[in-house]
Amino acid sequence: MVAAVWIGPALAENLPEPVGHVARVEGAAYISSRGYTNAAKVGQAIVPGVGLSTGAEGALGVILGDGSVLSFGPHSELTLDDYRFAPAADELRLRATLNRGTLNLIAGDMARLDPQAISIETPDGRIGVRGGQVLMKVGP
Amino acid sequence: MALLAMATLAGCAQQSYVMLADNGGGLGGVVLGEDGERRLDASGQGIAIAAGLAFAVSDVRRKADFDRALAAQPALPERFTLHLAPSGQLDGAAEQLLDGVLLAARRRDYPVVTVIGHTDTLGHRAANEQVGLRRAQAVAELLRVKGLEAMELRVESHGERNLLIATPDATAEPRNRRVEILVR
Repeated sequence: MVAAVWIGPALAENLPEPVGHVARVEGAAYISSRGYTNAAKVGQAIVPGVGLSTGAEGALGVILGDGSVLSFGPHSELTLDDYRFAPAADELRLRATLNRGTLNLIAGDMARLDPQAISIETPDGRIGVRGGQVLMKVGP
Repeated sequence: MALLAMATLAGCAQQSYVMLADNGGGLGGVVLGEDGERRLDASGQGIAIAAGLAFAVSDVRRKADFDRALAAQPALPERFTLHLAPSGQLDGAAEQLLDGVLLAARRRDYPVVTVIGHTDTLGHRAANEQVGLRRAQAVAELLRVKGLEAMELRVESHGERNLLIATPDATAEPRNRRVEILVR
C-alpha cells in the first residue's frame, strides 16, 4: 500500500502543496475542503484552508510539515487558516481557528525558529503558542 | 461549602481555557491578550482564554477534558541528523543512521519523509539555499538506493536560515552543515 513518490521543488505548481497528513482517525472524523466534507482517512493530505472536525465519539490526529502535531477529542472543529513552513524564505506561520472542542498541540520546528509563528484563534480570543505542548478547550 | 465548591468547578468547566502541558524545557509557553500581557510559562498551569489569572490544572480536570484528545495523538515525528565531514562527505555513522530512517519509515502506515539540507552562514544566502538543496538531494538519493518506502519523499533546503548553532552571518560552523531527515 506504500509507494515511493518523488516530489521535486519544481513540481506541483497548480495543486495546493500538502502541508501535512492525517495520522490517526477514531470514530467520526471529517475533513472539509472547498465546500465538501468527507470522512477523514489516515494518510490523507492536509492543505491550508481545510476544516477538521470530529463527531460525538470521534478523534483525529494530524502531523504537519514542521513536525507540529495536532490531535482532537470529540465534538471538535478547527480550520487551518494558513500554514507555511519555509525557513529559507523567512515564512513561518501556523494560523488556525478552534471553534469548539479540545485540541492537543505539540509545537514543531516552526515555534523554535519563530516563537510568534503559531497562533490559534478561538471565540474567546487568540492564543499564541511559543512552543512545547499546549492543551485547549473551547466550550460549546 | 461542598455545594459552593461544586458550583465553582462547574463554572470553570464551562469556560474555554488553555493549559501548558509541557513547557518544552523552558522554551515553550502560551501568550494571551492584545499585548501578550497574560502568559503561561510553567507546565501544568492553565488560564481562561477570555480573562483572568493562571491557575494550576488538577489531574482530574486535565483527564476529564483532554483524555480523548491526548489518546488521539499520533506517533511523534522522528528526527535524524547527518553531519557532514569537512570534505563535504557523509561521515562514518551515516550508513547506520540511514538504516534507522528506513526502520522508522517502516514502523508507520503512511510515512512521509522530508530530507532537509542546511548550511552555515558562510557565503551568500541564495547560494547556501542551493548548497543545502544539493546536500538534501544527495541524501535522498542514498535513501532511495537503500530502498526507502514512503508515501511521500520531500526534498527541501532551509539554507542558512535554520541553524543548529546560532552564529552571526558569514561564520564557518561545521555543526551547521548538516542534513536533517524528518520521518512523520
